[in-house]
Amino acid sequence: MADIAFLLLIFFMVTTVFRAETGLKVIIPQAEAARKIPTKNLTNVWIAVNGIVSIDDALISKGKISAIMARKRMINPDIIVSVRCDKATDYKLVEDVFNQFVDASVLKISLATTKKRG
Amino acid sequence: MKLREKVARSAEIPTASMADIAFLLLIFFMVTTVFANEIGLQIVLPEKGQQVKVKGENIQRVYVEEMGGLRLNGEAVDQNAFVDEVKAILAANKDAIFSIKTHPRAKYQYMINALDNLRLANAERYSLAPSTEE
Repeated sequence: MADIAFLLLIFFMVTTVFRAETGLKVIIPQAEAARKIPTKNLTNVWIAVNGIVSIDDALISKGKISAIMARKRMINPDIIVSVRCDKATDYKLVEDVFNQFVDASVLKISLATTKKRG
Repeated sequence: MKLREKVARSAEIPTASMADIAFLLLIFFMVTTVFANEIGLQIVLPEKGQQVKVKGENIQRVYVEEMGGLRLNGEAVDQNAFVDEVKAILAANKDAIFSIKTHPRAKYQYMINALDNLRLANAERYSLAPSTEE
């Protein structure tokens, strides 16, 4: 019994990844064709309904996104950005953020979605 | 004077509670574990200043309207028929590139819908065009 407990214990200890960020409260959109995204090299960017952007648990003003992303890309050139955007956000606000990613040459983007339930 | 006889004490850690500790930790990790099962649609944005020349006939214009309606090359297409329409285009021209243009005030979900439908139709080449009102 104790052996099994230890085995499970070690399994959970190894697999546990503590959530480092809390981010913003968003309801991410649904998509059917969504695939699993790799967690390696991933940076989360939250975009709330009103266009507030949060990176690394800090609220970022619109103009500073590209500078932050450029720095992140310098540290890790293989960076992938996971955009966790609220589904009711106006597209213009999302596009502004995308344009700043392009300015920072951060091009690999993953749009976080949830599975559509039939 | 009589010296006390030395008693050999056993120096062992009691192991009886070991299992309890293991279970306690086990329950702690089970409760705190969040399995990363994030899913999403992956896109690659175009490099800045990079212009790719594409043949005009290969460009298929997808427009996402403010209220979520989809238009394919100017014609309104029903959400359910969209995937089949895209498949038909791809069958006729496998070099087709889909340019997704979105109304600035359209909800993000509508753009995701368009992207999702293209993915479902196995369209591999698409790009996000700057948003404009149409």
